[in-house]
Amino acid sequence: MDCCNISHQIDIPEGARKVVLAGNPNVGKSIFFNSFTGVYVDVSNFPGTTLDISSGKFRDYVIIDTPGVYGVSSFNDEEIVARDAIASADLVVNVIDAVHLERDLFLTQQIIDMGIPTIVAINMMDEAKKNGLQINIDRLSEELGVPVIPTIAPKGEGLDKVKNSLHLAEIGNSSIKLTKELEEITKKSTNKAEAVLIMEGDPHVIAKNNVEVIDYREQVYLDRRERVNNIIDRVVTETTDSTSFSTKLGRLMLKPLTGIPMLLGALYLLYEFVGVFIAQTVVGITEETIFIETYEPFIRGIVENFIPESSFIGQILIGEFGILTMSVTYTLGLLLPLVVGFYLFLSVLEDSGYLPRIAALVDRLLTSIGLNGRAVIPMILGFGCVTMATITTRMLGSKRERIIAVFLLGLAIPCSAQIGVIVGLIAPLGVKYLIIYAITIFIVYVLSGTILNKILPGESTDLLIDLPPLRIPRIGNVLRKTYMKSISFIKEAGPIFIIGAIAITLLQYSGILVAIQNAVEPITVGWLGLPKETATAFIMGIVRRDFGAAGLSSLTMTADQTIVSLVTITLFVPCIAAMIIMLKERSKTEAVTIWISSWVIAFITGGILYRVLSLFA
Amino acid sequence: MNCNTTEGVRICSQCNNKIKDPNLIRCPRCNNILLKKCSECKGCSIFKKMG
Repeated sequence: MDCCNISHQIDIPEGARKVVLAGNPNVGKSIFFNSFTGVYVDVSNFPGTTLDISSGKFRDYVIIDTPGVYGVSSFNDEEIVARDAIASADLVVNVIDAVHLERDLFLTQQIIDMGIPTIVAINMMDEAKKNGLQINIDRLSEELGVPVIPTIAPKGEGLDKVKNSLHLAEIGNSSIKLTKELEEITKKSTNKAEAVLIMEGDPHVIAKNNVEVIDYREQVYLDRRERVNNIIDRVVTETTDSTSFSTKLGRLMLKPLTGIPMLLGALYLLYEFVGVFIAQTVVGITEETIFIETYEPFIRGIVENFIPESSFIGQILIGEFGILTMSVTYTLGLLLPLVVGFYLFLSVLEDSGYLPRIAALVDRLLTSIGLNGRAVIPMILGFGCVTMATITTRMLGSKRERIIAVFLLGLAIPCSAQIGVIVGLIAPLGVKYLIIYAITIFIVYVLSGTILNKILPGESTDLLIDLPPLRIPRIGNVLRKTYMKSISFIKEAGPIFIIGAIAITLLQYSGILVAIQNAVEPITVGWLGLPKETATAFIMGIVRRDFGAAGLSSLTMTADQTIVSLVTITLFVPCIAAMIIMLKERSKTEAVTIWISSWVIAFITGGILYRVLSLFA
Repeated sequence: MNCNTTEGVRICSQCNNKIKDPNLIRCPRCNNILLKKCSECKGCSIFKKMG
């Protein structure tokens, strides 16, 4: 494969020197590029990829922008493009983030090792100062052996100095200890830059230079990392006051004695915000007023001009579970406010630095049920919506933990819509029944997790997380994260609700729904001691958990029967949306096993609770 | 590193670097914290054994 020369893709005037802008993702390279080149920019496609390369002129130079990369290699298209640009550069302007030197300096050192004249622009110096980082710029320049210029690119500070310093670019101090090996390889290759890439085992560069395959990558990387860490030790000082309020608060959050009450307080705030304000007040307006009372009559009116509601197609479109009625109302009227509210709260926890502290606090507890502290995030999300929480289990460290988390989410975590209805039904019965409900669910949760932990082979992954400094959440960050996560969720889950709506309409229209109700009567009446009609609520719970719980409210039941039915419906199968996500996230066998297990556990627990309550009746 | 895959390699979730040394806590390239064990150990699923 032809590599290592960007000149094929970009028009370089004779005599012009190639200046490549390189750096990690999100360091602000675009601002530098725009500052250098102004409005007149050429965009060329890099062959074999979907990536475009931007280039422009600045004085006698051609400025070439590259994708943000962590290193120069052939790991992915972005790194291949960056590699070819950097390897053929006359000089490199390497933009680094002052807050993340330990991450960014690896690329800097790699470019220096490749023997390419470099200038380093150390950007976001204002952020570094806010984070209590003091960087000795002169010492950094001395260690690297290249000019280092501090900048705050969004404010334009330092950009002119970078532009006027291009002629000062230097070949810096190498970190490569395998000097003999490098010498040998350089003799056989085009230049030093490619020799370094050959040492690191880059297959394209090896093929281009027609040399034997060698791979010192691991050793070279370790030596480079050691050098970068040494440099950082010498040039960076943290000036954060260890007695500051945020530092003390951060410590209190980690200790169980103070951390747990704080966590309970945060969960209470979450309940008040999402469970009360959003789920009741806001959803009362969006679902009821806007969608059920205004939108649905409107859309039914339009569709009925062409298709009668009583027909099969009419039922699919605008029936009780219609895709234009229930699906839209459910997605936009009910779920969207809940999702936005929940992600808003979660983004605040994340941006403030509190979330990783929660994970550290609950790690020991979660380890006993086969998870680690990271699982607290999907568990908290599950109280919002189990479907969305199931998607988040991707972040967990091993397949084993993902299975346990998905199982517990589907089994024992009621979603906010369901919680709203459950609280509404239990409240009139008194605190005693609330305690019975909470304890029963908690016991099932811990027992199931413990059993799964014992029978699934392997162990939990250790919790290793960075604890960022605590800070007041930035509104821009919070809103941006909330927006992106909410949109992503609606795109994933929206089509699933449509499928669910079609499925339940088919069951209802064909009469299978009624047949199922009759078939399960021995369980609902005989085993659980409930009225026969609760079967309908359970079947509705398969589509919508809150609908299932709400179905119970119209039945006349004793206090004991109410609790038995609520415990059973909480533990009952996940809703169709959550099931479809489970099928996507886990294998079919695992998802079906989880589904069947929740049936069994729900009814066994309900039956046992009925008999225990009967003993005390 | 407890792993029974044939390669015994961890892949950094941030930069896709492959790490063979089981003692490394952070990726040498991007400094991201690595999971201690191989992310997709074939021995970790009871369902795989049943299958």
